[in-house]
Amino acid sequence: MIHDGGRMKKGIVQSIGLMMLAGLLLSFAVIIFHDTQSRDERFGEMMIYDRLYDLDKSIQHGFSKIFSSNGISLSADNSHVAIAETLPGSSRLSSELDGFSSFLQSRYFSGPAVSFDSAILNNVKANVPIAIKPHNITISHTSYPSGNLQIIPSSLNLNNYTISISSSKSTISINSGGMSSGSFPVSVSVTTSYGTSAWSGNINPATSNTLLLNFDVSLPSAETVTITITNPARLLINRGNMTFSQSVSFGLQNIGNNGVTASLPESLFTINYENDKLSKKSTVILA
Amino acid sequence: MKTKKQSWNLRSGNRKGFILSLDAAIAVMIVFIFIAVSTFYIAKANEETLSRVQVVRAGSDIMNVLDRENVFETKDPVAISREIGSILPSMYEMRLRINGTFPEKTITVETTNQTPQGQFVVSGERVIVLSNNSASNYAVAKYWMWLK
Repeated sequence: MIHDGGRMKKGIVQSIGLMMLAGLLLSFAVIIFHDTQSRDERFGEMMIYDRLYDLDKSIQHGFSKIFSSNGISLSADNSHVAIAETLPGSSRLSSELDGFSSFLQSRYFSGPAVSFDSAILNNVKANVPIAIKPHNITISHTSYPSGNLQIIPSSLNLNNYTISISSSKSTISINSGGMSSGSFPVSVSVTTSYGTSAWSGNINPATSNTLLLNFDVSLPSAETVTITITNPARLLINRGNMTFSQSVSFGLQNIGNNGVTASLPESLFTINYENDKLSKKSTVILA
Repeated sequence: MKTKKQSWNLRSGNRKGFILSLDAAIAVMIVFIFIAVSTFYIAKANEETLSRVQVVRAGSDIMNVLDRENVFETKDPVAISREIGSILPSMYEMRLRINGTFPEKTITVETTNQTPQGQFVVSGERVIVLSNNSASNYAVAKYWMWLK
């Protein structure tokens, strides 16, 4: 009996040992299976994120190309922002923005679906508003393409203005009688077919300032461009009936932020992967 | 042979102990072999995932470069193919197709090899705008990439 009991004990120990070994192997098999499964899932998720990123960036780059091919050029760094364009603006811009957004919506109608906020798109077509962040300055136009350029800071966080205008007119006379005195530097240079004239001075950006650029005075082709700066350093370049190319640059106060960007309004378009419950509201960063 | 016989010629208790030890050693060995093989395969599988991601990223980067260098503007398969050849790392193959609604017609530009069968192939696409001074056209460039 004792001998049988001993054998039984050994048998039980061996069985338990085998069961533990089998359990260990089974655990490994389960771990490997789950690892493979989760790895495939993660890979799939990464691919979706990559596709979303590529689509978003390529749409943004497409819009940037449309803007640059229509003569609007922007640059921004941590201390300066510059916009160069022709006034009046390009009459093609509006139709090309419509064409591109329609192309995207017809090409991507499901998985992924690209949709546009029509109110924001209409605002972009009508005013070409460009937001400078983090300074919260808006570069905008009144009634694009025929209207004027304006730069609207939310507070006095600009350092200066440098404005260059180039026209095919013959003569230029600058009337600076409406400019105040202060510590805010403004520099204006005007190039005509006969040469370049310039005005620069320090003004008070908290009051109303007016600079008149009189072209071809006393000639039938006489035109006036009015540059107005009002509180807080809000700039308006009123082109009258003139056609000219201009470059406006302004210095930014250091507000402790890096990564200055110039972008169209937020949530211009949305990319939606419905099946993957993934959606991104995006805009176009132009500089 | 004699020595071997002598070593096996143990008394009953010792022999049982030896067999139990041998049993335990074999069990431990099996477990270790299993762990080693599992680790090897898991590591290999992770490596594969990383290399797949690498292929996807390489494809995306190449498309980005082509777009920013305005290579697609040419709409010429030979020129596009030549540019791909100059920037594509040697271990990859790439195929590209551009479908767009151009004023004249829908153009399909296909470059390089056909997509291989039975091999891991990644694909992706990029929206492109082809602009000149008079008009802009819109297209989608789809690409396939695989390891040689």
